[in-house]
Amino acid sequence: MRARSILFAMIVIVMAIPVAAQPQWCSSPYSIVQTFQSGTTAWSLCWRWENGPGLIITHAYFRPSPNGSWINILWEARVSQLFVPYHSGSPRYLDVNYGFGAVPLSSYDCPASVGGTVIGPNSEVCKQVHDRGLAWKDHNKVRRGEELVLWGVLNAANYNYIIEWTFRDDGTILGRVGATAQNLPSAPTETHLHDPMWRIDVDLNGPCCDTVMRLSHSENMATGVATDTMPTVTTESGFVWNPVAFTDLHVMDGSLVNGKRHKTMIHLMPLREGTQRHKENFTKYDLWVTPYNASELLANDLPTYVAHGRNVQNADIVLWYTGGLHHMYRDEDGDFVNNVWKGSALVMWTGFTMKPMNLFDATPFYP
Amino acid sequence: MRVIRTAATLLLALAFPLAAQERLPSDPLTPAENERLVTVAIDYAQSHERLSRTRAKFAVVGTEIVDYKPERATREGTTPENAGRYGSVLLYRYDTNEGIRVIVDLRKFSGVSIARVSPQSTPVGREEIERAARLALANASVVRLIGGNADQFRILEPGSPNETGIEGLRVLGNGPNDRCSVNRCVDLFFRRDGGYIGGRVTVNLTAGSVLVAPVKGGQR
Repeated sequence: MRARSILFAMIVIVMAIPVAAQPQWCSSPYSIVQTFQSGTTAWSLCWRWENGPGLIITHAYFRPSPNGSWINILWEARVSQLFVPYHSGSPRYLDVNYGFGAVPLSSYDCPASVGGTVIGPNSEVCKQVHDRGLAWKDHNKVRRGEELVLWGVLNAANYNYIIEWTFRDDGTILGRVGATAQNLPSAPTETHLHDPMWRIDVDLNGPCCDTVMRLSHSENMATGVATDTMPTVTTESGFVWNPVAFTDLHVMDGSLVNGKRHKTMIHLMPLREGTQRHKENFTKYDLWVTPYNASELLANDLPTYVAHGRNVQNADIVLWYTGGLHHMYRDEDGDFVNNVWKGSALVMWTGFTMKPMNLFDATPFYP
Repeated sequence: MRVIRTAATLLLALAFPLAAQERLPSDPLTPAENERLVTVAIDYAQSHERLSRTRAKFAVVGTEIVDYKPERATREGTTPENAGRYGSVLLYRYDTNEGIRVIVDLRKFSGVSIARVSPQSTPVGREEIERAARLALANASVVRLIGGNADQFRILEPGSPNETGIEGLRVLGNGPNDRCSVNRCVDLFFRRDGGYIGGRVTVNLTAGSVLVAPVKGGQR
Protein backbone atom coordinates (compact mmCIF):
# COMPACT_ATOMS: atom_id res chain seq x y z
CA MET A 1 0.00 0.00 0.00
CA ARG A 2 2.84 2.33 0.94
CA ALA A 3 4.69 1.50 -2.31
CA ARG A 4 1.61 2.38 -4.35
CA SER A 5 1.25 5.72 -2.55
CA ILE A 6 4.89 6.58 -3.25
CA LEU A 7 4.52 5.62 -6.91
CA PHE A 8 1.35 7.73 -7.20
CA ALA A 9 3.11 10.69 -5.56
CA MET A 10 6.03 10.38 -7.98
CA ILE A 11 3.71 10.32 -10.99
CA VAL A 12 1.99 13.47 -9.71
CA ILE A 13 5.36 15.21 -9.22
CA VAL A 14 6.59 14.30 -12.68
CA MET A 15 3.34 15.38 -14.31
CA ALA A 16 3.71 18.74 -12.58
CA ILE A 17 7.14 19.28 -14.18
CA PRO A 18 6.56 21.21 -17.40
CA VAL A 19 7.81 18.78 -20.02
CA ALA A 20 8.36 20.78 -23.19
CA ALA A 21 6.23 19.34 -25.95
CA GLN A 22 8.10 21.12 -28.72
CA PRO A 23 11.11 19.36 -30.31
CA GLN A 24 14.40 20.18 -28.63
CA TRP A 25 16.82 20.98 -31.46
CA CYS A 26 19.04 23.31 -29.47
CA SER A 27 19.79 24.25 -25.90
CA SER A 28 19.75 27.54 -23.99
CA PRO A 29 20.31 30.36 -24.95
CA TYR A 30 19.74 29.29 -28.57
CA SER A 31 16.28 27.85 -27.92
CA ILE A 32 13.36 30.26 -27.77
CA VAL A 33 9.79 29.30 -26.93
CA GLN A 34 7.61 32.38 -27.12
CA THR A 35 3.97 32.61 -26.10
CA PHE A 36 2.10 35.89 -26.39
CA GLN A 37 -0.15 37.80 -24.03
CA SER A 38 -3.17 36.31 -25.71
CA GLY A 39 -1.90 32.94 -24.48
CA THR A 40 -3.30 31.47 -27.67
CA THR A 41 -0.41 30.96 -30.07
CA ALA A 42 3.30 30.27 -29.67
CA TRP A 43 6.57 29.97 -31.58
CA SER A 44 9.40 27.56 -30.87
CA LEU A 45 12.69 28.06 -32.72
CA CYS A 46 16.46 28.00 -32.54
CA TRP A 47 18.88 30.74 -33.49
CA ARG A 48 22.61 30.83 -33.87
CA TRP A 49 25.26 33.19 -35.12
CA GLU A 50 27.67 32.04 -37.83
CA ASN A 51 30.41 34.44 -38.87
CA GLY A 52 29.66 35.18 -42.51
CA PRO A 53 25.90 34.82 -42.92
CA GLY A 54 25.21 36.14 -39.41
CA LEU A 55 21.95 35.40 -37.60
CA ILE A 56 20.45 32.07 -38.71
CA ILE A 57 17.04 30.73 -37.68
CA THR A 58 16.48 26.99 -37.53
CA HIS A 59 13.65 24.62 -36.64
CA ALA A 60 10.83 27.15 -36.38
CA TYR A 61 7.52 25.64 -35.22
CA PHE A 62 4.20 27.43 -34.73
CA ARG A 63 1.43 26.35 -32.36
CA PRO A 64 -1.90 27.86 -33.46
CA SER A 65 -3.81 27.03 -30.26
CA PRO A 66 -2.86 26.26 -26.66
CA ASN A 67 -3.69 22.57 -27.01
CA GLY A 68 -2.74 22.28 -30.67
CA SER A 69 0.24 20.51 -32.15
CA TRP A 70 3.47 22.26 -33.05
CA ILE A 71 3.57 22.71 -36.82
CA ASN A 72 6.97 22.74 -38.47
CA ILE A 73 7.36 25.84 -40.67
CA LEU A 74 11.10 26.33 -41.27
CA TRP A 75 14.06 24.02 -41.21
CA GLU A 76 16.49 26.89 -41.66
CA ALA A 77 16.52 30.51 -42.86
CA ARG A 78 19.57 32.68 -43.48
CA VAL A 79 21.00 35.57 -45.44
CA SER A 80 22.99 33.65 -48.03
CA GLN A 81 24.74 36.56 -49.72
CA LEU A 82 24.92 40.36 -49.80
CA PHE A 83 25.98 41.63 -53.20
CA VAL A 84 27.09 45.28 -53.42
CA PRO A 85 27.86 46.59 -56.93
CA TYR A 86 28.77 50.28 -57.47
CA HIS A 87 27.33 52.37 -60.28
CA SER A 88 30.63 52.88 -62.15
CA GLY A 89 30.86 49.07 -62.55
CA SER A 90 33.55 48.63 -59.93
CA PRO A 91 33.94 47.62 -57.16
CA ARG A 92 31.51 44.70 -56.85
CA TYR A 93 31.58 43.24 -53.36
CA LEU A 94 30.29 40.02 -51.85
CA ASP A 95 29.75 41.03 -48.23
CA VAL A 96 29.01 37.51 -46.95
CA ASN A 97 32.15 36.11 -48.60
CA TYR A 98 34.33 36.64 -45.59
CA GLY A 99 33.65 35.43 -42.06
CA PHE A 100 32.56 38.76 -40.68
CA GLY A 101 31.41 38.65 -37.07
CA ALA A 102 28.71 40.23 -34.98
CA VAL A 103 28.79 43.71 -33.51
CA PRO A 104 28.23 43.13 -29.77
CA LEU A 105 24.99 44.70 -28.57
CA SER A 106 24.21 46.55 -25.36
CA SER A 107 21.12 47.79 -23.57
CA TYR A 108 21.40 50.95 -25.70
CA ASP A 109 20.74 48.81 -28.80
CA CYS A 110 18.12 46.68 -27.13
CA PRO A 111 16.48 48.47 -24.20
CA ALA A 112 14.08 46.71 -21.86
CA SER A 113 11.66 49.60 -22.40
CA VAL A 114 10.92 48.26 -25.92
CA GLY A 115 10.68 44.68 -24.73
CA GLY A 116 14.33 43.99 -25.46
CA THR A 117 16.80 41.55 -23.96
CA VAL A 118 20.35 41.04 -25.20
CA ILE A 119 21.07 37.33 -25.57
CA GLY A 120 23.91 35.09 -26.69
CA PRO A 121 27.35 34.28 -25.28
CA ASN A 122 28.83 37.30 -27.07
CA SER A 123 25.76 39.58 -26.73
CA GLU A 124 25.21 39.17 -30.44
CA VAL A 125 21.41 39.14 -30.58
CA CYS A 126 18.60 41.39 -29.40
CA LYS A 127 15.34 39.62 -28.57
CA GLN A 128 12.30 41.88 -28.51
CA VAL A 129 8.73 40.93 -27.69
CA HIS A 130 6.33 43.78 -28.21
CA ASP A 131 3.08 45.19 -29.53
CA ARG A 132 2.96 45.23 -33.36
CA GLY A 133 -0.06 47.45 -33.88
CA LEU A 134 -3.50 46.41 -35.03
CA ALA A 135 -4.00 42.75 -35.86
CA TRP A 136 -7.48 43.54 -37.12
CA LYS A 137 -10.17 46.21 -36.74
CA ASP A 138 -13.90 45.68 -37.21
CA HIS A 139 -15.99 48.76 -36.41
CA ASN A 140 -16.17 48.87 -32.63
CA LYS A 141 -14.19 45.67 -32.19
CA VAL A 142 -10.42 45.64 -32.34
CA ARG A 143 -7.46 43.40 -31.58
CA ARG A 144 -3.82 44.43 -31.31
CA GLY A 145 -1.08 41.97 -32.16
CA GLU A 146 2.30 41.01 -30.76
CA GLU A 147 5.54 39.81 -32.22
CA LEU A 148 8.88 38.29 -31.35
CA VAL A 149 11.81 39.97 -33.11
CA LEU A 150 15.38 38.63 -33.18
CA TRP A 151 18.11 40.74 -34.71
CA GLY A 152 21.87 41.00 -34.81
CA VAL A 153 24.37 43.20 -36.64
CA LEU A 154 26.90 41.87 -39.16
CA ASN A 155 30.14 43.84 -39.08
CA ALA A 156 30.99 43.83 -42.82
CA ALA A 157 34.01 46.19 -42.77
CA ASN A 158 32.75 49.74 -43.34
CA TYR A 159 29.13 48.57 -43.52
CA ASN A 160 26.89 47.15 -40.81
CA TYR A 161 23.95 44.95 -41.78
CA ILE A 162 21.06 44.49 -39.38
CA ILE A 163 19.76 40.96 -39.90
CA GLU A 164 16.28 40.74 -38.49
CA TRP A 165 13.72 37.92 -38.15
CA THR A 166 10.18 38.57 -36.90
CA PHE A 167 7.69 35.95 -35.73
CA ARG A 168 4.17 37.26 -35.25
CA ASP A 169 1.42 35.90 -33.06
CA ASP A 170 -0.68 35.16 -36.19
CA GLY A 171 1.96 32.84 -37.70
CA THR A 172 3.49 35.43 -40.05
CA ILE A 173 7.28 35.57 -40.48
CA LEU A 174 9.22 38.60 -41.72
CA GLY A 175 12.85 38.56 -42.85
CA ARG A 176 14.57 41.93 -43.26
CA VAL A 177 18.03 43.35 -43.77
CA GLY A 178 18.92 46.92 -42.88
CA ALA A 179 22.07 48.52 -44.32
CA THR A 180 23.82 51.23 -42.30
CA ALA A 181 27.22 52.58 -41.04
CA GLN A 182 29.98 54.13 -43.16
CA ASN A 183 30.11 54.69 -46.89
CA LEU A 184 32.86 53.03 -48.93
CA PRO A 185 36.15 54.78 -48.11
CA SER A 186 37.29 54.70 -51.73
CA ALA A 187 34.02 55.93 -53.24
CA PRO A 188 31.88 57.42 -50.46
CA THR A 189 29.67 59.51 -52.76
CA GLU A 190 29.07 56.87 -55.45
CA THR A 191 25.58 55.39 -55.71
CA HIS A 192 25.41 51.62 -55.25
CA LEU A 193 23.03 48.77 -54.44
CA HIS A 194 22.89 46.38 -51.52
CA ASP A 195 21.25 43.11 -52.59
CA PRO A 196 20.50 40.73 -49.72
CA MET A 197 19.84 37.18 -50.92
CA TRP A 198 17.97 34.89 -48.53
CA ARG A 199 17.92 31.10 -48.45
CA ILE A 200 14.70 29.86 -46.83
CA ASP A 201 14.39 26.13 -46.24
CA VAL A 202 10.64 25.75 -45.75
CA ASP A 203 9.57 22.48 -44.15
CA LEU A 204 5.83 22.93 -43.87
CA ASN A 205 4.67 20.07 -41.65
CA GLY A 206 8.12 18.49 -41.98
CA PRO A 207 10.61 18.01 -44.82
CA CYS A 208 8.40 15.76 -46.88
CA CYS A 209 6.11 16.53 -49.73
CA ASP A 210 6.00 20.28 -50.21
CA THR A 211 4.84 21.80 -53.50
CA VAL A 212 5.33 25.39 -54.69
CA MET A 213 2.89 27.38 -56.80
CA ARG A 214 3.55 30.77 -58.37
CA LEU A 215 0.77 33.36 -58.15
CA SER A 216 0.26 35.56 -61.18
CA HIS A 217 -2.51 38.15 -61.29
CA SER A 218 -3.76 39.94 -64.39
CA GLU A 219 -6.71 42.05 -65.44
CA ASN A 220 -8.27 42.36 -68.85
CA MET A 221 -8.06 46.10 -69.55
CA ALA A 222 -11.14 46.04 -71.81
CA THR A 223 -13.52 44.10 -69.60
CA GLY A 224 -12.07 44.78 -66.14
CA VAL A 225 -12.22 41.09 -65.38
CA ALA A 226 -9.22 39.91 -63.40
CA THR A 227 -7.84 36.40 -63.10
CA ASP A 228 -5.27 34.72 -60.93
CA THR A 229 -3.27 31.74 -62.10
CA MET A 230 -1.19 29.52 -59.87
CA PRO A 231 0.89 27.11 -61.93
CA THR A 232 2.82 24.49 -60.00
CA VAL A 233 6.60 24.77 -60.08
CA THR A 234 7.67 21.33 -61.21
CA THR A 235 11.44 21.69 -61.69
CA GLU A 236 13.95 23.93 -59.97
CA SER A 237 14.09 27.40 -61.51
CA GLY A 238 14.20 31.15 -61.02
CA PHE A 239 11.37 33.67 -61.44
CA VAL A 240 11.14 37.38 -62.09
CA TRP A 241 9.03 39.32 -59.61
CA ASN A 242 6.39 41.24 -61.52
CA PRO A 243 4.73 44.03 -59.50
CA VAL A 244 1.75 44.12 -61.86
CA ALA A 245 1.21 40.37 -61.41
CA PHE A 246 1.69 40.36 -57.61
CA THR A 247 4.15 37.51 -58.11
CA ASP A 248 4.62 35.43 -55.00
CA LEU A 249 5.30 31.81 -54.13
CA HIS A 250 2.82 29.58 -52.29
CA VAL A 251 4.16 26.53 -50.46
CA MET A 252 1.70 23.73 -49.75
CA ASP A 253 2.25 20.52 -47.84
CA GLY A 254 0.91 17.24 -49.15
CA SER A 255 -1.29 16.54 -46.15
CA LEU A 256 -1.53 19.56 -43.83
CA VAL A 257 -5.06 20.98 -43.57
CA ASN A 258 -6.88 23.16 -41.08
CA GLY A 259 -10.06 22.25 -39.17
CA LYS A 260 -12.14 22.99 -42.27
CA ARG A 261 -10.06 20.49 -44.27
CA HIS A 262 -8.58 23.34 -46.33
CA LYS A 263 -4.96 23.05 -47.43
CA THR A 264 -2.56 25.04 -45.29
CA MET A 265 -0.07 27.19 -47.21
CA ILE A 266 2.71 29.69 -46.68
CA HIS A 267 2.94 32.67 -49.07
CA LEU A 268 6.34 34.23 -49.68
CA MET A 269 5.63 37.88 -50.53
CA PRO A 270 8.34 40.46 -51.34
CA LEU A 271 8.58 43.77 -49.48
CA ARG A 272 10.53 45.95 -51.88
CA GLU A 273 11.08 49.38 -53.42
CA GLY A 274 12.66 48.30 -56.70
CA THR A 275 14.25 45.45 -58.61
CA GLN A 276 17.98 44.86 -58.84
CA ARG A 277 19.44 43.59 -62.10
CA HIS A 278 23.16 43.25 -62.74
CA LYS A 279 25.45 41.56 -65.24
CA GLU A 280 25.94 38.60 -62.86
CA ASN A 281 23.65 35.67 -63.67
CA PHE A 282 22.68 35.11 -60.04
CA THR A 283 20.88 38.48 -60.10
CA LYS A 284 18.69 37.73 -63.13
CA TYR A 285 15.81 36.41 -61.00
CA ASP A 286 14.19 37.53 -57.75
CA LEU A 287 12.69 34.24 -56.61
CA TRP A 288 14.11 30.73 -56.96
CA VAL A 289 13.00 27.26 -55.99
CA THR A 290 15.47 24.38 -55.53
CA PRO A 291 15.31 21.00 -53.85
CA TYR A 292 17.07 20.73 -50.47
CA ASN A 293 20.78 20.05 -50.61
CA ALA A 294 22.88 20.66 -47.49
CA SER A 295 25.86 21.77 -49.57
CA GLU A 296 23.94 24.39 -51.55
CA LEU A 297 24.18 27.42 -49.30
CA LEU A 298 25.54 30.20 -51.53
CA ALA A 299 23.10 32.24 -53.61
CA ASN A 300 25.80 33.23 -56.11
CA ASP A 301 25.82 29.63 -57.29
CA LEU A 302 22.06 29.48 -57.95
CA PRO A 303 22.44 29.37 -61.76
CA THR A 304 24.65 26.29 -61.31
CA TYR A 305 22.26 24.66 -58.85
CA VAL A 306 19.18 25.01 -61.05
CA ALA A 307 21.04 23.81 -64.16
CA HIS A 308 20.43 20.26 -62.92
CA GLY A 309 16.69 20.58 -63.58
CA ARG A 310 15.76 18.60 -60.47
CA ASN A 311 12.20 17.92 -59.38
CA VAL A 312 10.69 20.24 -56.76
CA GLN A 313 7.14 18.92 -56.79
CA ASN A 314 6.03 16.99 -53.72
CA ALA A 315 9.58 17.35 -52.46
CA ASP A 316 11.79 18.86 -49.77
CA ILE A 317 12.17 22.39 -51.17
CA VAL A 318 14.21 25.53 -50.55
CA LEU A 319 13.07 29.06 -51.52
CA TRP A 320 15.50 31.86 -52.36
CA TYR A 321 14.64 35.53 -52.48
CA THR A 322 16.70 38.59 -53.48
CA GLY A 323 15.89 42.15 -52.43
CA GLY A 324 17.61 45.39 -53.38
CA LEU A 325 18.46 48.70 -51.71
CA HIS A 326 19.36 51.64 -53.90
CA HIS A 327 21.74 53.80 -51.86
CA MET A 328 22.26 57.27 -53.25
CA TYR A 329 24.76 59.42 -51.38
CA ARG A 330 23.44 62.35 -49.40
CA ASP A 331 25.13 64.80 -47.04
CA GLU A 332 23.48 63.06 -44.09
CA ASP A 333 25.77 60.02 -44.75
CA GLY A 334 28.92 61.81 -43.60
CA ASP A 335 32.14 63.37 -44.91
CA PHE A 336 35.94 63.15 -44.69
CA VAL A 337 37.67 64.74 -41.71
CA ASN A 338 41.51 64.59 -41.92
CA ASN A 339 41.33 61.82 -44.55
CA VAL A 340 39.08 59.63 -42.33
CA TRP A 341 35.37 59.24 -43.10
CA LYS A 342 33.08 60.45 -40.33
CA GLY A 343 29.36 59.82 -40.28
CA SER A 344 26.90 56.94 -40.58
CA ALA A 345 24.32 56.29 -43.28
CA LEU A 346 20.85 55.92 -41.79
CA VAL A 347 19.31 52.45 -41.96
CA MET A 348 17.62 51.38 -45.22
CA TRP A 349 15.47 48.22 -45.15
CA THR A 350 14.38 45.51 -47.56
CA GLY A 351 12.88 42.08 -46.98
CA PHE A 352 9.92 39.77 -47.38
CA THR A 353 6.95 38.39 -45.49
CA MET A 354 5.80 34.79 -45.17
CA LYS A 355 2.07 34.81 -44.57
CA PRO A 356 0.14 31.68 -43.61
CA MET A 357 -3.11 30.74 -45.34
CA ASN A 358 -5.63 28.31 -43.84
CA LEU A 359 -3.41 27.77 -40.84
CA PHE A 360 -6.30 28.83 -38.60
CA ASP A 361 -9.94 28.00 -39.17
CA ALA A 362 -10.92 31.69 -38.87
CA THR A 363 -9.46 35.15 -38.15
CA PRO A 364 -6.98 34.63 -35.32
CA PHE A 365 -8.11 35.94 -31.94
CA TYR A 366 -11.58 36.94 -33.24
CA PRO A 367 -14.06 36.75 -30.34
CA MET B 1 10.50 -1.76 -3.99
CA ARG B 2 12.01 -2.84 -7.32
CA VAL B 3 8.80 -1.71 -9.04
CA ILE B 4 9.19 1.74 -7.53
CA ARG B 5 12.84 2.02 -8.54
CA THR B 6 12.08 0.99 -12.13
CA ALA B 7 9.13 3.34 -12.35
CA ALA B 8 11.18 6.19 -10.94
CA THR B 9 13.95 5.62 -13.49
CA LEU B 10 11.47 5.54 -16.34
CA LEU B 11 9.66 8.65 -15.16
CA LEU B 12 12.85 10.61 -14.68
CA ALA B 13 14.00 9.58 -18.14
CA LEU B 14 10.72 10.85 -19.56
CA ALA B 15 10.94 14.09 -17.64
CA PHE B 16 14.55 14.88 -18.52
CA PRO B 17 15.10 13.20 -21.89
CA LEU B 18 17.94 15.48 -22.92
CA ALA B 19 19.97 15.57 -19.78
CA ALA B 20 22.39 12.93 -21.01
CA GLN B 21 23.11 14.64 -24.35
CA GLU B 22 26.00 17.06 -24.56
CA ARG B 23 25.27 19.11 -27.68
CA LEU B 24 21.96 19.22 -29.52
CA PRO B 25 21.82 19.15 -33.35
CA SER B 26 21.61 22.93 -33.85
CA ASP B 27 23.88 24.13 -31.03
CA PRO B 28 26.89 26.10 -32.34
CA LEU B 29 30.24 24.38 -32.72
CA THR B 30 32.50 24.23 -29.67
CA PRO B 31 36.17 25.19 -30.21
CA ALA B 32 37.17 21.53 -29.70
CA GLU B 33 34.56 20.34 -32.23
CA ASN B 34 35.69 23.01 -34.67
CA GLU B 35 39.29 21.90 -34.52
CA ARG B 36 38.43 18.24 -35.01
CA LEU B 37 35.92 19.07 -37.73
CA VAL B 38 38.62 20.75 -39.84
CA THR B 39 41.03 17.84 -39.39
CA VAL B 40 38.41 15.25 -40.35
CA ALA B 41 37.24 17.29 -43.35
CA ILE B 42 40.77 17.70 -44.72
CA ASP B 43 41.52 13.99 -44.21
CA TYR B 44 38.25 13.02 -45.88
CA ALA B 45 38.82 15.30 -48.88
CA GLN B 46 42.41 14.13 -49.29
CA SER B 47 41.46 10.46 -49.02
CA HIS B 48 38.92 11.03 -51.82
CA GLU B 49 41.59 12.81 -53.88
CA ARG B 50 39.67 16.08 -53.85
CA LEU B 51 42.38 18.02 -52.03
CA SER B 52 46.15 18.28 -52.31
CA ARG B 53 48.22 16.76 -49.51
CA THR B 54 50.44 19.86 -49.66
CA ARG B 55 49.07 22.29 -47.07
CA ALA B 56 50.24 25.37 -48.97
CA LYS B 57 47.94 24.47 -51.88
CA PHE B 58 44.69 25.10 -50.04
CA ALA B 59 43.14 27.42 -47.46
CA VAL B 60 40.53 26.79 -44.79
CA VAL B 61 37.85 29.36 -45.51
CA GLY B 62 35.28 28.67 -42.82
CA THR B 63 33.36 26.22 -40.67
CA GLU B 64 29.79 26.06 -39.43
CA ILE B 65 27.13 23.79 -38.02
CA VAL B 66 24.92 22.38 -40.76
CA ASP B 67 21.31 21.40 -40.22
CA TYR B 68 21.76 18.34 -42.35
CA LYS B 69 18.78 16.26 -43.40
CA PRO B 70 19.57 12.68 -44.29
CA GLU B 71 17.84 11.47 -47.43
CA ARG B 72 15.38 9.43 -45.39
CA ALA B 73 14.15 12.65 -43.73
CA THR B 74 12.08 13.56 -46.78
CA ARG B 75 10.19 10.29 -46.41
CA GLU B 76 10.12 9.59 -42.68
CA GLY B 77 10.72 13.00 -41.12
CA THR B 78 13.54 13.95 -38.82
CA THR B 79 13.48 14.43 -35.08
CA PRO B 80 16.19 15.86 -32.80
CA GLU B 81 16.74 12.33 -31.58
CA ASN B 82 17.49 10.81 -34.99
CA ALA B 83 18.86 13.88 -36.79
CA GLY B 84 22.48 13.68 -35.65
CA ARG B 85 24.84 16.63 -35.56
CA TYR B 86 26.82 17.80 -38.58
CA GLY B 87 29.41 20.40 -39.44
CA SER B 88 30.60 21.91 -42.71
CA VAL B 89 34.09 23.01 -43.76
CA LEU B 90 34.68 25.21 -46.77
CA LEU B 91 38.13 24.92 -48.34
CA TYR B 92 39.68 26.82 -51.23
CA ARG B 93 42.10 25.06 -53.59
CA TYR B 94 44.81 27.30 -55.00
CA ASP B 95 45.94 24.54 -57.37
CA THR B 96 42.58 24.18 -59.16
CA ASN B 97 41.00 27.55 -58.29
CA GLU B 98 37.82 26.11 -56.79
CA GLY B 99 36.14 25.65 -53.46
CA ILE B 100 34.99 22.43 -51.86
CA ARG B 101 32.47 22.01 -49.08
CA VAL B 102 32.91 18.95 -46.88
CA ILE B 103 30.13 17.84 -44.54
CA VAL B 104 31.16 15.87 -41.47
CA ASP B 105 29.10 13.77 -39.05
CA LEU B 106 30.08 15.27 -35.68
CA ARG B 107 28.86 12.29 -33.67
CA LYS B 108 31.05 9.84 -35.60
CA PHE B 109 33.63 12.38 -36.78
CA SER B 110 33.53 10.97 -40.28
CA GLY B 111 33.03 12.59 -43.67
CA VAL B 112 29.56 12.53 -45.24
CA SER B 113 29.86 14.40 -48.54
CA ILE B 114 32.03 16.65 -50.71
CA ALA B 115 30.64 19.26 -53.08
CA ARG B 116 32.35 21.69 -55.44
CA VAL B 117 31.85 25.44 -54.99
CA SER B 118 32.58 27.74 -57.93
CA PRO B 119 35.70 29.92 -57.58
CA GLN B 120 33.74 33.20 -57.67
CA SER B 121 31.40 32.00 -54.94
CA THR B 122 34.07 30.63 -52.61
CA PRO B 123 34.50 33.13 -49.79
CA VAL B 124 37.92 34.28 -48.62
CA GLY B 125 39.19 33.05 -45.29
CA ARG B 126 41.25 34.52 -42.53
CA GLU B 127 44.46 32.98 -43.96
CA GLU B 128 43.93 34.83 -47.24
CA ILE B 129 43.16 38.17 -45.60
CA GLU B 130 46.35 37.84 -43.57
CA ARG B 131 48.31 37.17 -46.76
CA ALA B 132 46.67 40.14 -48.47
CA ALA B 133 47.59 42.37 -45.52
CA ARG B 134 51.22 41.22 -45.64
CA LEU B 135 51.39 42.02 -49.35
CA ALA B 136 49.75 45.41 -48.86
CA LEU B 137 51.85 46.54 -45.92
CA ALA B 138 54.99 45.74 -47.92
CA ASN B 139 53.82 48.11 -50.65
CA ALA B 140 55.18 51.68 -50.49
CA SER B 141 52.00 53.24 -51.93
CA VAL B 142 49.88 51.57 -49.26
CA VAL B 143 52.24 52.69 -46.48
CA ARG B 144 52.02 56.25 -47.81
CA LEU B 145 48.21 56.04 -47.93
CA ILE B 146 47.92 54.93 -44.30
CA GLY B 147 50.28 57.60 -43.04
CA GLY B 148 53.49 55.61 -42.67
CA ASN B 149 52.78 53.78 -39.45
CA ALA B 150 52.17 50.27 -40.76
CA ASP B 151 52.87 48.55 -37.45
CA GLN B 152 49.65 49.76 -35.83
CA PHE B 153 47.51 47.92 -38.40
CA ARG B 154 46.64 44.31 -37.57
CA ILE B 155 43.76 42.15 -38.86
CA LEU B 156 40.65 42.94 -36.85
CA GLU B 157 39.03 39.91 -35.24
CA PRO B 158 35.34 39.39 -36.17
CA GLY B 159 33.27 41.69 -33.99
CA SER B 160 36.34 43.41 -32.58
CA PRO B 161 35.62 46.77 -30.93
CA ASN B 162 39.12 48.00 -31.89
CA GLU B 163 39.08 51.33 -33.68
CA THR B 164 42.30 50.69 -35.61
CA GLY B 165 43.06 47.70 -37.82
CA ILE B 166 42.52 46.01 -41.19
CA GLU B 167 39.41 44.37 -42.61
CA GLY B 168 39.10 42.62 -45.96
CA LEU B 169 36.28 42.09 -48.42
CA ARG B 170 35.95 39.77 -51.40
CA VAL B 171 35.66 41.76 -54.61
CA LEU B 172 34.54 40.57 -58.05
CA GLY B 173 35.97 42.00 -61.25
CA ASN B 174 33.94 43.69 -63.95
CA GLY B 175 34.63 42.40 -67.45
CA PRO B 176 37.55 40.76 -69.25
CA ASN B 177 39.92 43.69 -68.67
CA ASP B 178 39.58 43.41 -64.93
CA ARG B 179 41.89 40.65 -63.69
CA CYS B 180 39.70 40.19 -60.61
CA SER B 181 37.05 38.71 -62.91
CA VAL B 182 39.17 35.55 -62.99
CA ASN B 183 41.67 36.00 -60.16
CA ARG B 184 40.97 35.91 -56.47
CA CYS B 185 40.93 39.48 -55.14
CA VAL B 186 40.19 41.30 -51.90
CA ASP B 187 39.86 44.96 -51.02
CA LEU B 188 41.48 45.94 -47.73
CA PHE B 189 39.98 48.58 -45.44
CA PHE B 190 42.19 50.47 -43.01
CA ARG B 191 40.22 51.48 -39.96
CA ARG B 192 41.61 54.31 -37.83
CA ASP B 193 40.02 56.29 -35.01
CA GLY B 194 36.66 54.65 -35.69
CA GLY B 195 36.61 55.75 -39.35
CA TYR B 196 38.16 54.48 -42.59
CA ILE B 197 41.12 55.94 -44.45
CA GLY B 198 40.11 57.22 -47.89
CA GLY B 199 41.39 55.33 -50.92
CA ARG B 200 41.16 51.83 -52.36
CA VAL B 201 43.64 48.99 -51.80
CA THR B 202 42.99 45.93 -53.93
CA VAL B 203 45.12 42.82 -53.50
CA ASN B 204 45.14 40.25 -56.28
CA LEU B 205 45.91 37.10 -54.32
CA THR B 206 46.39 34.99 -57.43
CA ALA B 207 48.94 37.35 -58.96
CA GLY B 208 50.38 38.53 -55.64
CA SER B 209 49.96 42.17 -56.70
CA VAL B 210 48.65 45.30 -54.97
CA LEU B 211 46.78 48.17 -56.59
CA VAL B 212 46.20 51.50 -54.82
CA ALA B 213 43.64 54.02 -56.05
CA PRO B 214 42.66 57.43 -54.66
CA VAL B 215 39.17 58.31 -53.52
CA LYS B 216 36.88 58.49 -56.53
CA GLY B 217 36.02 62.07 -57.29
CA GLY B 218 38.49 63.27 -54.67
CA GLN B 219 37.66 64.41 -51.16
CA ARG B 220 35.21 67.30 -51.23
